[in-house]
Amino acid sequence: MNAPVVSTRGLGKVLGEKPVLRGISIDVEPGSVVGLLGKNGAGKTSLLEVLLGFSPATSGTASVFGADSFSMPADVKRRIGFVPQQDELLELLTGAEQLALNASLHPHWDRALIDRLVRDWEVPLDRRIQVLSGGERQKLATLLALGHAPDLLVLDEPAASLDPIARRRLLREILDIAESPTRTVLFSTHIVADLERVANQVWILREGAIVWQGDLDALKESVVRVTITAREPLPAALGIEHVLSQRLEDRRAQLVVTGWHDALPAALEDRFGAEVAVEHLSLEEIFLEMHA
Amino acid sequence: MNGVLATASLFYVRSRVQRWFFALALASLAARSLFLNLDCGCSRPTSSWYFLAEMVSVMPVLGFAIASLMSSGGLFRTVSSLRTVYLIPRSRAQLASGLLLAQVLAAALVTIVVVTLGPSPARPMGWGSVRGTFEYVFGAATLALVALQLIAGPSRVASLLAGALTLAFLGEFDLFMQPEVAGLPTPDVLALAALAAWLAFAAWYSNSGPIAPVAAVWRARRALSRTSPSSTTRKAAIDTYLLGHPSLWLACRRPLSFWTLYIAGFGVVMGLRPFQFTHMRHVPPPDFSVAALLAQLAMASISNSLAGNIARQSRTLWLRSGDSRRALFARAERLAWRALALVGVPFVLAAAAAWTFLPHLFTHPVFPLAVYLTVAPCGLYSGLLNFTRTRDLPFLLFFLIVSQGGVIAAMLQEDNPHLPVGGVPLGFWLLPVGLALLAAAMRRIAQQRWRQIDWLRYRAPRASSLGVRAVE
Amino acid sequence: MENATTPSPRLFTLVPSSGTPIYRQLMDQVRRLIASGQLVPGAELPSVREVAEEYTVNPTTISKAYGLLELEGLLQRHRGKPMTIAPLRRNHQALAQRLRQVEAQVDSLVLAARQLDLPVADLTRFIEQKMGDSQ
Repeated sequence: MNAPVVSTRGLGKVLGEKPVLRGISIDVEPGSVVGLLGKNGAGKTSLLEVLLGFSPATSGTASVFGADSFSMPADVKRRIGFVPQQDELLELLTGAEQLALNASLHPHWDRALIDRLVRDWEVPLDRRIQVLSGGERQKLATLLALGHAPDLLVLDEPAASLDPIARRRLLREILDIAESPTRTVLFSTHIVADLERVANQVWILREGAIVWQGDLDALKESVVRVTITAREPLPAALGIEHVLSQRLEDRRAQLVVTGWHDALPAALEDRFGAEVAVEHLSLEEIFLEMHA
Repeated sequence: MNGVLATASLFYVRSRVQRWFFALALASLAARSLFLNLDCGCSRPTSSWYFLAEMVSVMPVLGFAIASLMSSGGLFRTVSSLRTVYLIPRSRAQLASGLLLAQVLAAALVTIVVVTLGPSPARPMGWGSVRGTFEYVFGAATLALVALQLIAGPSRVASLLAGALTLAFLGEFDLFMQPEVAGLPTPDVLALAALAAWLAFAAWYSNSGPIAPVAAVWRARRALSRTSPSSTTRKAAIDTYLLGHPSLWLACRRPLSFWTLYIAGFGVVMGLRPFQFTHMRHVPPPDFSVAALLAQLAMASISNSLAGNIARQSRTLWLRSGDSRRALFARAERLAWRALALVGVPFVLAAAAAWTFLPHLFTHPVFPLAVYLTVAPCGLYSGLLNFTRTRDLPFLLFFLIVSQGGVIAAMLQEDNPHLPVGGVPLGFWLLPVGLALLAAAMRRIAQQRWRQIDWLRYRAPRASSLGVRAVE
Repeated sequence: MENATTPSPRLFTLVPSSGTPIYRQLMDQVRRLIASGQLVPGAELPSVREVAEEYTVNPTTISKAYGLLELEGLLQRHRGKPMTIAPLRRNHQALAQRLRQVEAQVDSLVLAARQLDLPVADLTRFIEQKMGDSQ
C-alpha cells in the first residue's frame, strides 16, 4: 500500500569532472515532510534536479511514483509541483497573467486556494514580474507550484529571500499540505530552524553523499555532546565509538557522539571514573559538528 | 596613473569576444592592405565590379572594426552604469581618460599595420603618412565612440541625431579612402574634432548623476500596460513559456523593429547618395544591394536568436507540459519554424521587391536568394542547440563567411560572358545544396541532443559575467 | 467536569530548535502538568491541529506525543472529541522498575548536592517536604 513516493538506489551523478552525487539510496514514504540539509555546493539542487528528471543520473536509479525520473510520463509529472531555486517566471508578464498561464496548463487549478494565498501572502499581481522584489518573486513562484494541488511538492530553498513573516506563512502552508497522508513535501534549505519545525525526515548531504537520513526525532535523540571531567589526566585515545568530533584537554574531554543510549553515561563513568554530563544538540549544532 | 592604464587595457581586451573582434579587425585590415599592395602599379579601372570588389573587401575590416568599437563602447556604458563604480571617487574621470588612452593605443596599432603592409603611393588624405593615418583612425574611431554613447543615451533626440549621422557616414566610409575625393576634412581636423567631442562628452559624463544601464533605458520606452486575456488555451500557454513572451508577434517585435530601422537607414543612405552634393569626381551609383543583403542577415540572425531563446526556455516545460523530451523537441522545432516564417517571409518579399524594382549591382539575384534561404534553417537548428550562450557567435561568423563569401564570389562572376544557371557557374550551386544538407544534418544532431538534455549542465550562472575589479 | 475549560494550545511551551525532540518536550510537559495538578483527570487537551497551528510545527509530531502518552495510560482517546486526561491509576510496576525510571534525575540531584556540599540528611528532609506539599 505504501509504495515510496520517491526512491533511489545507488544514485550517482558526475558533472564535467566532478562527482556531485555519490551512491545515494533513499526512499520517501507518502505523507512525510523531508528536509534536505547541506551546505552550499553539497549537491542539494543536483539531487532534486536528478530526482525530478531534469538531469540524467550517471549511475544508479531514481524513480518518482514508480516511474523512472528521466523519462517520466505526463501523468506522473502532473502530480508534481516544483519551486526551483532560480525562478522560471516570465519577466514581461504581470503576476496575474503568469498565474493565468499556469492555470491553463493544469486542468485542475484550485482558484480558491490561490486567491486565498494571494491575499494572505500579499502577492502583488498587477505589476510586471521584472519589477518585483526577490521575495515577491519567490512567493509567486511558490504559488505556481501549489495551484494544481500536487501530490509531491518539491521546493529548492523556498525561503531564501523571504522575511520571517513570509517564511512563517509558507511553513504554515507546507504544514497544511503535510496534514494529508497522500501528499508529500520535499524541500531543501539551510534555514535549519524551519526544518526543525516542519520536517519529520531529514537528509543531511555532504559533498554529494548522504551522511544521515531518517527520522528527525531519532537524529536528535541519538546525537549527544558528552563532557567527561576526570580527576586524573585522560588517555589520548578514549576508545569511544561513533565520534563526530572531540576536544581534549588534560582532564576534560568534550565529544559529540552518535549512537546514544541510556546506559552510556553510566558506562563512561565506570570506565573513566569521572563525571559525565550529557547534552542533546539542536539540529544546527548537529549539522555544524558533522562538518567540523 | 596605474589606474588609468589598467582601465585602458580593459576596454579592448576585457572579454574573449572583444579580443576576437579586435584581432579579426586587425587581421582583415592587414589582408586588405596586402591586397591593395598587390594591385598597385596597374591603372585603376572604373568598372563597377572593381569598385564593388574593393568596397566588398572593406566589409570585413569595417564589420570587425565596428563590432570591436561597439563592444568597447558598450562595455564603457555598462561599467558606467554600475552603482559601485559611481561611488568610487574620481572613477568617472578615470574611466573617460582610460578610454581615451585605449583609443590612442588602438589607433597606433592600426596605423602600424597599415603603414607596414599598406600601399606606398601617398594620398591627399595623408593616408600614406604615419601621422595622417593615425589622426584619421583615431579621429574616426573616437567620434564613433562618442556617437555610440549618445545613441545609447537617455536623450531620444540626441540618440536619433547621432544614429542618423553615424549611419550616413558609415555608408560612405570607403569614399574617405579614395584619392579622388575632395571636400572632406583632413586628418588633423578630424582628430581635433574628435578630441574636442570627447572632452565635451567627458566633461558632461564626469559631472552627471547615476547613469542607467541601457536595458533600463529601452525598457522605459516601451508601453507599460496592455490588456491581457484572463485565461489562454493550453497550447498558447506552452508556446508562451517557450518564447518567454505572450505571443510570437511580441517576441519578434523588438528584433524586427531594430533590424527594419537599420536596413531602412542603410537603404536610405546608400540609395539616396547624399554625397552627390559634395565635389566628388566619382560618385558611386545608387545601390540597394547592401540593404537587401542586410535583410537576409536579419532573417537568419533573428531566427537564430529566437531558436536559442526557445532552447533555453525548454526547461520550464519539462514538468509543466508533461511532454517527453522527444515531444518537446518537436514543439520547439515547430515554434522555431513559425518564427522563421513570420520573420522571413516579409524580409524575403522586401528583398525580392528591392532586387526587382530598385537599382542594384546583382544581375541575377536568384543565387543569393537560394543561399540565404538555405542558410536560415542552419541558423534555426544552431539556435536550437544553443542552451548556454546568449549570442550564437559561431553561427554569425559562419553566416558571414559562408554566405557572404558565396555571394561575393557570385558577384565577381558577373562579368563572365559564359553565364550558365542563374548567373553563376554550375559549380556554385553546390553551396545552397550543401547548406540544405547541412541543415538536415543539424536537425538530426539537434534531435539527438534534445533526447538527452541535461538541464543541470545548462543552468545559467547566477552572478553577472562582468566582474569589475576596483580600478585603484 | 468541574475543571473543563476550553483547552488553550498555549498550555505548552514548545521550542523546535532545542536538542530535545518536540514530541518529547510535549510529553514531558503533559506529565509535569498532570503531576502538578494543573491537568486533572477528565480535562480536555487541545487538538493536534490546534497545537500544530499555534506553534507552526508538524502535526505528526504532536500526534506521536499524544499517541505515546495514550500508550502509557496517561491520556484517553474519544471518538470525535478531544483527548482527555485518564483517571489516575495506581502504578503497578515493580518498585525497582519505578525507581530506575527516576535514576537519571536522582543522578543529577546527587551531582548537584555534591557540588554544593549538601549533607544527605538535609537533602532527604527537603525531598520529603516537597512530596508532602504536592499530595
